[in-house]
Amino acid sequence: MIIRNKQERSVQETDYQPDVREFDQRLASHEVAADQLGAGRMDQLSQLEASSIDILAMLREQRDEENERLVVQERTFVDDVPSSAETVVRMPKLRRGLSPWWLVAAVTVGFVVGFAMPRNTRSASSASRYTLTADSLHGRSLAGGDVNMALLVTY
Amino acid sequence: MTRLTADDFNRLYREHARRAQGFFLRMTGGDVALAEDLTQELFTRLWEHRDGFDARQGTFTTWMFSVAYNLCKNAYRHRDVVAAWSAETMARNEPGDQALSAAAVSPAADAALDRREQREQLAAAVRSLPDGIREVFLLRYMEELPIGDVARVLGIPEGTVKSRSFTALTTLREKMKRLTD
Repeated sequence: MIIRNKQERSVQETDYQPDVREFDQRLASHEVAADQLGAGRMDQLSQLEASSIDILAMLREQRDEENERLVVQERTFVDDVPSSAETVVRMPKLRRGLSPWWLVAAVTVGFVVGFAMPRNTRSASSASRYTLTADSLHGRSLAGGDVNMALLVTY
Repeated sequence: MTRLTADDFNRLYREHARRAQGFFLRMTGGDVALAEDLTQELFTRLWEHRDGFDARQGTFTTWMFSVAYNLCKNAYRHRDVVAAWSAETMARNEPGDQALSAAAVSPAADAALDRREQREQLAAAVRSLPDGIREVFLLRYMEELPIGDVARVLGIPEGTVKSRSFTALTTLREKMKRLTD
């Protein structure tokens, strides 16, 4: 509802005030009830604990005996072991060093080099020309089978 | 926040290791080897994460038991201890209950049943408590932590700690009554 003027607003507030007060009172009573309930539960528990003191005493004797029998390992902690904070700082650096981008870069370089290099030897004639040239430098002649072997070696 | 030095930590280890091991022993149903392993794992973790400990936010004991409880949960998860434990508990309960009945029917039972036996049977009764209730009982009454600390360690409301404490005590009293009747 739109409140048009100050007078109307004051009427509205006056109208709602009893409800608000009632709500506050109910809330307060609920809170008191909740506190009482909690306190009641606590009282009940305290009473139960007090009446169970024999049981608890026996169980604590049992606990002490069990603990006495335990063999605790001797151990000494020294400060030169890196703390968690240092480890946390060091870990991302290590991870950064092993970043998958390095792998991607290496594969890319491999592709570039791989596609660039063998282009001269892609056809048998160019390969044979290549090997013939290479072999002629060594003063050797090639038979047909040797060209295939030369192709393999070139690849 | 001051960082725990090695000297501080060694002192804390000497003061609390036995207590932690006892807690693990009771949490794992008496598995001595597992309790030893978990204790060492616990203090290794505490040492590694010692920068996370702030004495203003809680005591070392609360911190230690929080990590210890998580280790127990992990141990349960990975080693399937819960299933083994339930089966073991059921198997153990049967003779325990029979022993209680036998004690009740035997005329010389009251004389024969000394405090030690009662204690052992009570300890068995604690082991037979359901998981959530047993944890609350062990932390509240065996490790004697305040209700607020138990709630913080287990991550449950204080009201739940109270109601579970109530259930645990009521159950144990009933068992004790059967034992002495």
